[in-house]
Amino acid sequence: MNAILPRRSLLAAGAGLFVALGLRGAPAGAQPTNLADPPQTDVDGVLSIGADGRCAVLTSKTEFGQGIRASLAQIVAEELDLPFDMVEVPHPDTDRSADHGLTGGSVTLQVIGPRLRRAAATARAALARMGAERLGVAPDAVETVDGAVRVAASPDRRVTYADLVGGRRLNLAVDPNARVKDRAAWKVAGRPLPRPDLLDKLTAGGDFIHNVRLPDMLHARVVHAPGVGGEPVSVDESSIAGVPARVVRRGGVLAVVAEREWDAVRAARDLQVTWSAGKAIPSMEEVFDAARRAPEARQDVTANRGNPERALADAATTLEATYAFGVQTHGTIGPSCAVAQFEGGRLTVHSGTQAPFDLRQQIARTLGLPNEAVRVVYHHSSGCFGRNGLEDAASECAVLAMELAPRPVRLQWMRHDEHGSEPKGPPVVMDLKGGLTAESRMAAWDSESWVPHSTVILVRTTASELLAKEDGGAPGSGNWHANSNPPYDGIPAARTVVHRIAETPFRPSWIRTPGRVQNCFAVESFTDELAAAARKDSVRFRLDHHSDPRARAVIEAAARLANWDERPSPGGVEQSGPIRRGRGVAYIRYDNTRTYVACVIAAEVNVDTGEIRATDAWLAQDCGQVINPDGVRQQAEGCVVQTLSRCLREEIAWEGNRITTLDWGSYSLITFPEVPRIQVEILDRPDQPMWGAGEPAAAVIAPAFGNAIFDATGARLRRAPFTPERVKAALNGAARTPLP
Amino acid sequence: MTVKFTLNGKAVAAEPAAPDQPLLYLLREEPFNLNGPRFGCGLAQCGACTVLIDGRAVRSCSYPAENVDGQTVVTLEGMGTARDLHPLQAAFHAEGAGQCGYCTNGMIMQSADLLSQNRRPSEDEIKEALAQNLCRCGGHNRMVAAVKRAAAAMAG
Repeated sequence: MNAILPRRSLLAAGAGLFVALGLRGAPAGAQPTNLADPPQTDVDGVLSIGADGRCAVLTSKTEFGQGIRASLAQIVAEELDLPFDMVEVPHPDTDRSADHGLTGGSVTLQVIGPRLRRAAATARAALARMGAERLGVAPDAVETVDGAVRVAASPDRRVTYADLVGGRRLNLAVDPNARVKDRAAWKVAGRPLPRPDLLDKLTAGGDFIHNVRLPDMLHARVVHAPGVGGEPVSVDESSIAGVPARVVRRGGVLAVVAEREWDAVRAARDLQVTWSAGKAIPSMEEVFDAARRAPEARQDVTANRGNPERALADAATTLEATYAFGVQTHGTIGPSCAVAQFEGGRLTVHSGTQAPFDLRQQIARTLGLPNEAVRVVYHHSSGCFGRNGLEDAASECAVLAMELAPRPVRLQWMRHDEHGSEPKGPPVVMDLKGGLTAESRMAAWDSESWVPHSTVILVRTTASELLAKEDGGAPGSGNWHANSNPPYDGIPAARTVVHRIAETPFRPSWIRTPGRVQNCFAVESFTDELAAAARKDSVRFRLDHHSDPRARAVIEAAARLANWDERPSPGGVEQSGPIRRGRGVAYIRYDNTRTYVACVIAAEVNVDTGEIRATDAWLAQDCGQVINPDGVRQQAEGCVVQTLSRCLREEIAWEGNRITTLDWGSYSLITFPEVPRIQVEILDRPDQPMWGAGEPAAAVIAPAFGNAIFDATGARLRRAPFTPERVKAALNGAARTPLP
Repeated sequence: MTVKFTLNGKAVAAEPAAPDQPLLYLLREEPFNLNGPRFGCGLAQCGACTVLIDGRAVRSCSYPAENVDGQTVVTLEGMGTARDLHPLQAAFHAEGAGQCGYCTNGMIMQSADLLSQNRRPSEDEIKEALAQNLCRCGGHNRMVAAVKRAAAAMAG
């Protein structure tokens, strides 16, 4: 059983509390949980104190390296007056966890943090009352310290939480007015405590989904169609006659299963399959124009003030540009994996999904089972940074488990499955027009962009598509319109229109900082174009158009870190030979409503080869009240590196409807020598709400890098990634087009 | 054929499923059930599966299991435990180097190879040694700092 239940769950389960909490899932057919306002629970729904005095935090939020376990534990430990290592956040299990919705959107701390804080404060107040009664003193005569209630005037007289409630329910509604600690009194929260899962990961433990082994487990590989929408027409089973493996088919799901993993791998490799042609998709060259022509499902106007048409007509200077961001893959190092078993009328699916409750519903619908008959248990996975193939592998593995019942089956995707068959970051294109006054201020902004549409947040799984079953997911995920507007309130006339299109060539899904990476690239690069046309310094120009003091603070902090020299761009320094150096800045307020980030990047450009490099990144972030500064820092560093990787060369390629970039040779990531020095400054706002830090910093990297290349060379990059060919083309364009 | 080799200090024997079975699959299945080396690409491109064979870093996903006959294999499990950390593991922990942790096996094993050849590598030498190991989370700089820290600790 050790492989099934994570150690921390076992520990909490031993307290016997989970029995009362079990099987409370959403009713069949429910929509995905509202991330901004998931269902409220009582204190027992989110916290349990075991017989040993340890506290378990019960949530559907998943830890995948971003450090959320540490932050949530710090909040609870602080308010409960427990040592940090006495609070645990077990992996989600749909039989046991509160459904707080999927993990994503940088909303976990923002939404769940305050709830846990109030629940823990409610629990602490109740424990103090109970302790005072037990100790026979007045309620105001006790204090709570290190998991115990003690008489303030006589600290030896104490009773532990374990003695008071260990292993039992508190039966308390969360008190919305429960008194929480002042920031100045914090001992556990606000500190850079280490993530509790790291040591396991460094010593070959870590409860990865890839390491789940059940007794009598079979190994499977799915065989995916090489072309989009293809299905197996005929399968020549004689092609694997020499391999101890067998073919399993259900509808369009095609797999091979073996007792030993390598036999499954080579059977999948050798199996001869004739595929249907699948569906036609636009060519790589046509993909952005195809987006403009695609049927529009909805139109959003994300900014609408003044009269941009008239303001453009009246402007002293006008600019127009088109920005486009290529199709990208999530680039997960460990291909998607799942283990499933159907036994005794119940299907258990082990998965690294970010959405355990939603996945349960999707699998139940795909298989025609009631929700209650499906249990999803979370395990660590390889960083997916959006919706990669984990849910697809889980749904496929669930199908196989039904065919192979009661034996458990483990399915791991191969590298080509991950690069080829997971959903993709879609193509995004934006057309912009801007106008400057004679005084070099932004007077008008007018843009149109094309992004995928969906009103549903879940991406439909491969298995549901191949079995032609609706699973509550949609062909793509939503939210790609965010931050399509300019963030500057100093622009008097602005209109930004987002065309949400019904179809893109590949299943679109979130990829870190969805939409904001692509939209901020366009918006903040174009802002830089206007600054250059105005012959204004890029930092000064932004400050001149922004009144929000927190926005100005991050921009100024990033500039200060970078020793920014005030001057217009381009103004790069010529170095020896073909190398030019420059620096660029970019800013975002995430979703226009929360975390502020600004970043300065220094870049080197080889004008002969078009090769580029970021040498330094200076990043300033204000995500409100900070729970774990090292967690914030680490996420910011990761955003810098990962997004630089996406800017340098990440773009999938295809011929006909077949993706051809199926390995790390053809679709490669940034390497160690290419990673810049990184400095992060966190602007802590102790008296403000806490906001997320996992995604926002990624949004500013592409424009800061592109603006740095412009500063170095005068070449404007409007198409990401910035391949050497595109850099050279932009350099040639810059040479031909004199600057204004 | 049966292969006999030394695995994390113990003499062991195993039977590959087929002549082309890579070592990685042998290490991860019965009776060894090791978790340190991980499947990433099967193409020797990412490094997640790295082990030490006769002291040098090898991509076990692309190394035929049959070749290991008579050789000495060390995996992450053989480096150290949570209670008795190898200096590299301790340094990675101290630097907070590792987010999702999937690539970390390869980073530690490749760095062990480096430090066995070069006791005090420069930052650039560390980056060069790890240039063929991929990380998606962007923990690169912390890992470089960790290798420097481990080198200093091991040099005493």
